[in-house]
Amino acid sequence: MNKIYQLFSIAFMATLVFGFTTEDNKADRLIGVWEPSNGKSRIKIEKIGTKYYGKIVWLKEPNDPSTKKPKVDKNNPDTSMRNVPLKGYRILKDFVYKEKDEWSDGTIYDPENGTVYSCVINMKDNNVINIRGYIGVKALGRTDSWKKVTVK
Amino acid sequence: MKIKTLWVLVCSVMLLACSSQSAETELTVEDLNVFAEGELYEGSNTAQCEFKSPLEAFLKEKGIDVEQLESASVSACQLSVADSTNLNVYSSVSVQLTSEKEGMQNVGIMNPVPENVNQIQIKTAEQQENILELLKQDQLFVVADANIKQDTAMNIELKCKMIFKIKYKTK
Repeated sequence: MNKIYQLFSIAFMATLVFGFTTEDNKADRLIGVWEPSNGKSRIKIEKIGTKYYGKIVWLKEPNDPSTKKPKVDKNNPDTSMRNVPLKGYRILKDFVYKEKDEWSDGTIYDPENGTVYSCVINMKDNNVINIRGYIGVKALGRTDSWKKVTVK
Repeated sequence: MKIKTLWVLVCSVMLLACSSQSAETELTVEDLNVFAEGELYEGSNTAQCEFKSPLEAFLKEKGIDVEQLESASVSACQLSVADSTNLNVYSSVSVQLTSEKEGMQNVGIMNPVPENVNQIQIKTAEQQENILELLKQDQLFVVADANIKQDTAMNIELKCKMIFKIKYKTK
């Protein structure tokens, strides 16, 4: 009887441990370097606490043609932050894994116009994510497909 | 006419006396160890430090209720290296605050990092929206995005000091 009880306990603990691990693993598939469809930049997504954040780690044209210096966030509505380099800029913030390959509650920042949009990320497969930025309701938005970049 | 004027004056004085006024105080958080393990690559690297919000203890010490709080902002942010080395490896550093429940907030930027210094004062952001809500959380993260000039085997090990300006209603 004791052995049966022990076996049951082990099975129960294993289910708990592996159950949670699987959920974590699913959520962590977002971690990595991704390239938007225009190929102008690469975004590294990482985890801080339990949320996911993404920053620009590579730019096809790292320098501003007019100044010949590294591009900065010149369109930021907060004038005090216009000196922040775009390389390293955190454009994806506060994404939480929900379920069914979806990360939501986050925002995406477009440095081209200095606007922050609500954003949801859906994973199409392990190498493609769909990023939808929107204002207010999801229907009023635009989706872009990002491909995973293999870092050598 | 005189009585009417007198009444207006009395009412104004009473209104002023009854209405609560705002006051400001400072909350300093020191010795936050912002860390990222090397080896690190040229470009942006993320260092972070998780810490317990000091707000509750601070309010208790000052005799202020949470309901009295109006707003908070980071008025100063200092980064330094603990040992005798300098910050020459960094080209720029931006600092953010975040928590599990509240969104990430820009604190400030230093670009470029001056040569041969071991301490920098970050230029704080003018627009700081949810610092008070962040401080109300149990745990906070300081996130430093450090642009590194070249690949290095070293860690990022920075000491961070932040001063929060807290505005509250007096009783």
